[in-house]
Amino acid sequence: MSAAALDKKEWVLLTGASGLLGSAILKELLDGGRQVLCLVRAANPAAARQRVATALNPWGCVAETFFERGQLAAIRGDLLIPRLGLGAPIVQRLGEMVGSVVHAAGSTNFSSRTDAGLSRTNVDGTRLVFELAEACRCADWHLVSTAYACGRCGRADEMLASTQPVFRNDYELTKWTAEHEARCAAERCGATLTTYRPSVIVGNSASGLTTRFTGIHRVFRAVSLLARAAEQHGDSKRHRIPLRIPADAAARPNLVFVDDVAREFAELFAQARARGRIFHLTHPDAPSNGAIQRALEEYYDIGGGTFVGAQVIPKSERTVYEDIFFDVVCDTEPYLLESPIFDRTQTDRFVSRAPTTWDAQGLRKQIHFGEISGWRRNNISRHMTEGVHGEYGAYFEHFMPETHPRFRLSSLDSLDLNVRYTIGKSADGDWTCCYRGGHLTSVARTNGVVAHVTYRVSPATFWRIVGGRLAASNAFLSGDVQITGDIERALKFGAILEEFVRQFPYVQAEDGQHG
Amino acid sequence: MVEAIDILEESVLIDGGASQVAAVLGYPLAGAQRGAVLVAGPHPLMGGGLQNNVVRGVARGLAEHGFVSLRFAYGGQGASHETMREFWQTGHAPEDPFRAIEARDALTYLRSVCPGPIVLVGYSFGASLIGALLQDPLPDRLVLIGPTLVQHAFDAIQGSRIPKLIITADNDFATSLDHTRNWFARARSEKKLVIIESGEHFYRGLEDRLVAEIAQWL
Repeated sequence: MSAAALDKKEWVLLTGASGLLGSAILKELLDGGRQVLCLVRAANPAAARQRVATALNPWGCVAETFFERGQLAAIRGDLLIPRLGLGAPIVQRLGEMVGSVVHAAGSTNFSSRTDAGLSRTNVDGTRLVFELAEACRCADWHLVSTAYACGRCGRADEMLASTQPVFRNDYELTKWTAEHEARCAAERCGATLTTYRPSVIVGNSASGLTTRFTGIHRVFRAVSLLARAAEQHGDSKRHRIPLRIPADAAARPNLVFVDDVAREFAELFAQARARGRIFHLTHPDAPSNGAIQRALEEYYDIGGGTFVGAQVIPKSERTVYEDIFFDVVCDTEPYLLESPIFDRTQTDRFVSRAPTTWDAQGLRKQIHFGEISGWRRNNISRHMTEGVHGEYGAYFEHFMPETHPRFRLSSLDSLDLNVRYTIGKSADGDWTCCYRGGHLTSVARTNGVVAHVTYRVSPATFWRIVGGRLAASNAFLSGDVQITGDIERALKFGAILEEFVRQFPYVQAEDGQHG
Repeated sequence: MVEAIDILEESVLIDGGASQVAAVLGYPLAGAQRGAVLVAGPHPLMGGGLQNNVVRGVARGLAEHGFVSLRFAYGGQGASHETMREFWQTGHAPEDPFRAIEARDALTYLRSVCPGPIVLVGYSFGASLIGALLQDPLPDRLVLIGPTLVQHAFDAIQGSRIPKLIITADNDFATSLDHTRNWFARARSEKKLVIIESGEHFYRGLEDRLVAEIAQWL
């Protein structure tokens, strides 16, 4: 990246880029031509870049392209440490670069139990981020909060409540407190605070893609377990499952697609006249509990759930199905029961189009994505492009970035190379590793990156090589690995790879994770 | 045309001046011996070893044609940071001069077990080592397979009067065909250039063809 690019105070400092919404916002900002500096928790600079690259990967974004273009950078920081753990020289440098701060990091623990970590992350973390903004002489502050900072109410306006509402849980309290403190801090130091309040964020509108399975996904997950339980018990009454749901069929938990939220954020961020306002990034016509129930029953071919309104079902009176359901849904339950009507008047004045319409298909996509991903974040990468590459992902996305900084040859400063591995014939074995100045700067599913060198290899040979059971150079020369691109550099890199494997042989665990 | 005959292969450890050199000696079980062949392989950081397909194929194949062949392994294991850095930048490793010493030790051993005509066969980087072996007593014939003419020095070989056979592929990433032709045109002595069409530097599946070309020329 050129010094000139860094010297303009046009960078956006973004926290939370490794999260679901943060990564989607990052993509939108990059697509809009913004220069974004991501602050992420990481053990070392290479790992910081890798976290950003991994976060962008599901959105079809190749971080390396933006890194090379000087449009994207990553630094290490910790929300729980004053000045986020950044030294004075870095803060000074940020002061020369950063024109806007977007704070999208936070904890979304809906538990009713007191959680000190929640307050530290959401309240103290927000305060520290904007203290850093102040130290960087940055006066353009953006806070991603939640629409539920309004607490329990019938209607929520796009403004800050002057008195503390009644909250469902500590999560809402911490977000409300953070909004308040940020507003006070902005006024105190002459900054402009723009607040964005999304509601319950779900996956991508087109595919259901998500990297998080909290919120409404807990309900989806619970129903999937009910369906499985009905099958396992040989229950012939799968269409009459005894399940009482303490909610109203007509209530509408405000579900909003992550891509809609990110798009609206980017549109608002781009408009100077939107500064200083509060926006509800919510859905104007979210699906009702009844519609969600129908989608779930249709998807899993089950039935029998009955909405019983606001009532507590004592544990001793629960059916076995209700035990399963409530164990999984747990903290999400209050959001099924009631949801305010979120006013979007202000937001609608600034954004070009309304969020994607909800329909049965939209719900089905959300459920289906969770199902094929096994409801696990760790499995997301397997399915983000309809493949199963967990084993390769474990190697390329985790093992390589974690071990490469310890590789004693990792400072070959002249090593600038994009290496593509095409393993087997399926798309999930197609990976590209980018090295700059000897450092592994990104690893991603191959997606538009120009590779200098491509190795084609069978899965068996690949695992033998990375396990140290077959010398890479021998495999090249014997034809077990087909090389295309710059063959000389491919062979030379083979020697480096061989040394890497010698120092860090990869042991496949039975579950596909590295041991 | 000589019929292929049964051969024996023995693993040997050669006591060199600086270190021991692991090698494989191959020879025909019966019949007259036509001479001795030393086979030097690709760079050790690029897969040059006893089991390289060309090294093994040529050594075994020529033994089947009545020659005593010796293929040897380069020393050293693991690469230092400096080695890797220089190798990545230049294609040369600081330890490369030791490879010539190992080749010389192997040649000395081969002469000791098989007096008579000596043929030096070098493949890729190994071809460049032949230049360091052109000392009295001189070898009788030289065979260069896929020589890395751009990356390494071949002046001594080009200027020597020893008959030489050059085998190259029309799609060799290491040296273009034009470059090889120009180098060949300036080479002195009796010489022959064989171009393997639709081939590349690794000669995978072409090992028998290489043996046939060499055996015919010898």
